Amino acid sequence: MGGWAYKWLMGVLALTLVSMVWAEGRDGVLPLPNWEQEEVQIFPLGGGLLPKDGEEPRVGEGNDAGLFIPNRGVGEKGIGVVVEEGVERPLVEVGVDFLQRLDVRAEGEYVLDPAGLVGPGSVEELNRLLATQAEEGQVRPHLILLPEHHRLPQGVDLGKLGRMSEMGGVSCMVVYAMGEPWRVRLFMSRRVSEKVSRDYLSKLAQRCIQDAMKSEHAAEQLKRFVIQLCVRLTWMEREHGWTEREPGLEEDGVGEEMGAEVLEVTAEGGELEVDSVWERRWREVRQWLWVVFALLAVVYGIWRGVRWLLNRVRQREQGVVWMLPEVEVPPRLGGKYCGGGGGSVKY
Amino acid sequence: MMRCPRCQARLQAALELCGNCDFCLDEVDVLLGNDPVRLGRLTDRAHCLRLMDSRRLEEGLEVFARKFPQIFVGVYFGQLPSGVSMSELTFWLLNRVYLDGDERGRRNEFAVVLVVDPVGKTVGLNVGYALEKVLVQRFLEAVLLELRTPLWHAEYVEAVEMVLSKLERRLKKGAQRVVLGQEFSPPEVEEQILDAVKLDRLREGVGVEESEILDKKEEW
Repeated sequence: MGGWAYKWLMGVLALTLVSMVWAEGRDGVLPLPNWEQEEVQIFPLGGGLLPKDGEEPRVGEGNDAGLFIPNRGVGEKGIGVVVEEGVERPLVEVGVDFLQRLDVRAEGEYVLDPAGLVGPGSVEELNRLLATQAEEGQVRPHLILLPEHHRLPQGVDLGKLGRMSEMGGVSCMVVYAMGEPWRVRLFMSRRVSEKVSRDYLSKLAQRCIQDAMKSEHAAEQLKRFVIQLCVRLTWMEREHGWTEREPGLEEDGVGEEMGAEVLEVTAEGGELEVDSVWERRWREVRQWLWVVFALLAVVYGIWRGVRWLLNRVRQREQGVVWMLPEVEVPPRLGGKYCGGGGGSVKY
Repeated sequence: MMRCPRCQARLQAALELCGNCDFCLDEVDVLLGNDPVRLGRLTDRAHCLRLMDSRRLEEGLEVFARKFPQIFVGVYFGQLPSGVSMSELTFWLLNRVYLDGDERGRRNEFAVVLVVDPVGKTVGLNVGYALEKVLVQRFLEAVLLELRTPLWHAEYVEAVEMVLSKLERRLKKGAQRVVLGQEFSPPEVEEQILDAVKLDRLREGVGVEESEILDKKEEW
């Protein structure tokens, strides 16, 4: 390789190193707004889906989704709003037809999507995930999908929602607004709330939301949420010693009239670590930069090693000569030094 | 087995004349003379090499000469004289070339001559007696065949470098690898130096006591 190849290689190595240092340095300077303490405490979110006890949520109770983005969007009435690109949009309640379609639920159907937000293939996949969890575990998760910027009506009866009370067993109902995983609500039946602490459930919801937020696509977010939920429900069961179905469990349901208390769990109370798109991409790029740098370093090392070896061989060969033996050949054709032979050719 | 430069018949050893056509060196001497001719490593009478090409070839020939101190390789670019074939010319050159200057220590028996006629588009290659066993006739013919393509494209430098490379590879098979001599370290003791160089002391004052010197003075 000539001098130009050496310079090119050194230039690429230096550029890679600078990029990596810059990438590392960027961790301390995020392009995100600085969170104020109040915002972190009331963060997140979730809210607007179902007010507590039929009352309208007030600011500071952690039920306002508008507080997700700091210094923005608390509606005038304190009702949950969704802020998108600086425009405040109040949440819309789903209509009666939506609730009616929720009641049309087939046996073994765990995903309720009256608005047709996901395709049939995705519904089947999600249903399979939840059905597997229901069969193998104790807690039977159900999923209700709401369109984005929508909420359930005030005062809706959870027990009658999707005919949940008819299902029985230990149940968990997830109300999920498409594309807005931070607004998710988990409703657990009494059996769960008696055995599992609120903090644990809150953290469970939090982790599911965090996993969902790693993606930017609504469908992918939903899928990630459901998978994470199934996994964490299994862990929850194991940690709390639920190995077999307890007798009499079939009578338990969500919101049943025997006084079951519905535990409403949100992911409030903790800091939701949501990575921005920028951070995610830089994390991926940083890994590849390390790989590229390592490869370049290896190539450079090999190249230097080969050059050194070649130099050594060349130096050794400079002190070496090749000697031919003296041969006596009787002269031919009158030539003292050459007796013909050789050849010629036209080209 | 070598061939006659004129009729290409196989030559028997120690024949004054070709058994087929009665060819000998004298016939070429009649046309070209029998005086010694000077031949450098690279001669470009045809002016077909650029300065850069000439330097590159000279460098290559220099390296070759350093590796094979016995062998002289002469490359000649020039027009073929009339009445003489390329084989006859190379045969005559090897017997009549006079090596002087840096090549004085080498012998014609260890010489290799490559002659290229860019006008007549002919190339010839021949070797001295001492190299016949290593650079056999078939090898020389194979090298000539490979030369045709680069010479046809006027790639003279590449052609000569190819010949040198093939010669080097072939010669190494028949040669012995020798490492150049180490530096001589003189002995440290004076007596050893004198013994080594076979010299006696000029004066007896060296190593003789003063009283002895005074005694000798009185005697004189």
